[in-house]
Amino acid sequence: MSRRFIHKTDAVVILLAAALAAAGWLLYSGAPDGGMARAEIYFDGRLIKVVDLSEGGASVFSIPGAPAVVIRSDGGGILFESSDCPDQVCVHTGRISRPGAFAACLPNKALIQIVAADVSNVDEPDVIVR
Amino acid sequence: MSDSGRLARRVALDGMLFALAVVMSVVDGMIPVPVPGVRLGLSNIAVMYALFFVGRRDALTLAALKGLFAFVTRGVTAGAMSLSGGLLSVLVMTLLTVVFGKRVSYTMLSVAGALAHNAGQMIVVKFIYSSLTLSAFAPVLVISGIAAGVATAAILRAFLPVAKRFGEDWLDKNFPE
Repeated sequence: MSRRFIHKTDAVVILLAAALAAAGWLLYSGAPDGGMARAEIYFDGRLIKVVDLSEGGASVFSIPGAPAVVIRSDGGGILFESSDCPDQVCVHTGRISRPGAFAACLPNKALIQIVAADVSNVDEPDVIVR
Repeated sequence: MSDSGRLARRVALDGMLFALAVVMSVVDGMIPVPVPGVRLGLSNIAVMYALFFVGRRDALTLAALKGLFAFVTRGVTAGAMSLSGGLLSVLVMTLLTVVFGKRVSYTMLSVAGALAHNAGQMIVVKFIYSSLTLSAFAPVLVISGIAAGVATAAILRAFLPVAKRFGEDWLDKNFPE
């Protein structure tokens, strides 16, 4: 007996898995847009900057540890404007705005991650008692 | 066939497969894909061929060589991602063939291998960016993994009649000691 190229059950299993993933993707895409979100910018694993996307102001800045990496936020969204990396995956990712979305420049160890405004990766006190 | 003769042929075959994998990964980079950072994984065809028609050791060797090549040409991060994805992919495909034997199809193996490759790469990404939440990206990885797995299986299938001839049997027949 030699190995088959595909079985009928394989097609079913594969299509089912793809459908599940597509459903997950649609569910995520239906999530609210960047109105109440902020962008966390990481370099070399450390959080170096937080941009509040709900404020609406535009800004362009580069990462201190990697000056060739230029990031632009336009109020509501953020993107890698340019980078000196060879693959340019970060630039091609384009503008991101939804919580959960991220853009990464692996060669430069730079990462932008969108988080919902009420979720925090930052160590800050929840309540300050006077 | 002496042991040293067999070893020499095997080294030569693995070397050719590695060269093929390198060329395929260059071609892979030229193919436009709708999602940034996602690739078809054409060079895995060489790894799958090694796993199915040459031997497990050879497939593992190819995955390790691919990782080393990525490390030399594209840096530590790319090397670690290639190595992690490649090794996990070979391990998962090997496990499936050990457990299910010939009953598991090429397409299933290829899809499982592609998904494992993505998972292995994401382990490295998660290691570098520990704060990154990958759950929103997971569906994209699953869909692209399935698409890439089906595509590479189809290409392997197209080359199967030729490929089978160049395995150990072909070497035994054409290059006897």
